[in-house]
Amino acid sequence: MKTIAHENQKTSIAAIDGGFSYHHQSLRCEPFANFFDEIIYIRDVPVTDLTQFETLIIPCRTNAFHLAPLSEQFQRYMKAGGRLVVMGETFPDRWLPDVSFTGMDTNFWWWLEKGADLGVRIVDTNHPMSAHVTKEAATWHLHGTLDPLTETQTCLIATQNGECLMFEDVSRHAPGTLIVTTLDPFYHHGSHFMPATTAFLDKFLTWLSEG
Amino acid sequence: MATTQGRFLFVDNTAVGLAALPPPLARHRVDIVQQYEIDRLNWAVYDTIILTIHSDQIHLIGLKDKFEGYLACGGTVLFNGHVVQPFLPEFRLFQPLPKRGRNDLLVHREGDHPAFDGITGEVLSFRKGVSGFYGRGMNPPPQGAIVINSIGSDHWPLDWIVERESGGRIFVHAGNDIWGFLMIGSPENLSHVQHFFDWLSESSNLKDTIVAA
Repeated sequence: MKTIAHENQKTSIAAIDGGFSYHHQSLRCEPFANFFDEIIYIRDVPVTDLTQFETLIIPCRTNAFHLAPLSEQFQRYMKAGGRLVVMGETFPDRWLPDVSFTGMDTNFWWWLEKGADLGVRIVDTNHPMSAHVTKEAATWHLHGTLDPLTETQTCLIATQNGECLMFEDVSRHAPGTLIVTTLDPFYHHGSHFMPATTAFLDKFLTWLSEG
Repeated sequence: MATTQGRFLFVDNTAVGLAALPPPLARHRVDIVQQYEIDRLNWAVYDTIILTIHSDQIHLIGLKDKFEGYLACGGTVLFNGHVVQPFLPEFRLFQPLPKRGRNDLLVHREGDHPAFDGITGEVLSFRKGVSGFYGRGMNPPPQGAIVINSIGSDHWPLDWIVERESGGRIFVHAGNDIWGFLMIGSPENLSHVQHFFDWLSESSNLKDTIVAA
């Protein structure tokens, strides 16, 4: 592992850059650029030793056609102890085993009604993530759910009906970890759209950086 | 009534499927190809190369020479989105508007243009009373560009077109993919999209001799 990570008591984080403008903005520009020890261009992933990073983030909307051939590499990365974080609209149900996904029509307009609540909730208030990520920060809109979960997948963020929007799995790929969400903050923050997604990334990346 | 048959190369870089693609168009052929496959194609048969907000711009940087060759043939590049890798000499880095409140994001028509017949700034500005969908900043244009639509109180150039002496031209829309927003969320506005692609085809400067070759 990188020496610097130990000096600062922070985990090392790498992220994949699909070449999209919104990845560039989210990963390489302030305010979040400092969270990342390495940005790996999508086409360079096959020649990169991922095990040097404790956490690897696949940001929103990375093309699933390009992720599918990397599936074995990602699974080996987790088996070597890495934590893989898979963000929204990347369709991991197509390229990782035992991940379910059901898309939904996105309601972009729910907040126009005064006092409306999208219904997103943080499931386990004792989980370290909940010290940072709040219901408000995780609320903008929904693209789909991850049910049914397997026995090893623990729901961290859910809809008001209990459908899973983010799970963590610390067993299936042990000693590594898999985190999957259908939320798409890198896309919206990087598109200069929807301030809630900026707040979410600030809190979510802070949690991930704590290890 | 348009009689031309346009041919477009739609550069796709998503696994989403139909949602990311333009709606069906009459009289035109749209070849939808995954981005990393476009290197080997002959672009000179296409009236327009269509780039979406999901383009891998790092990859496009590597295709600089191919773009130059295509524009020299009189081709049109339609770029949607925010420039972060200036892969054409006319491009500068995207700048977001400093203030992005409802009224900071008003879209203005800057003059008549055949691609935007019948479309008002009001229509481009709002969806269900919410602004910001059409654009939120600018890709600063080069000298000689014609600004079609602008945004904000300072009228930042949002949609512009620049023509080269070769006949090649570059149409830039600094927002989400233009066909989605010409529909303004309603299938009834499909005619605006059809009209936009009719215009691209009818006004194409693609040199016939090159196409035949």
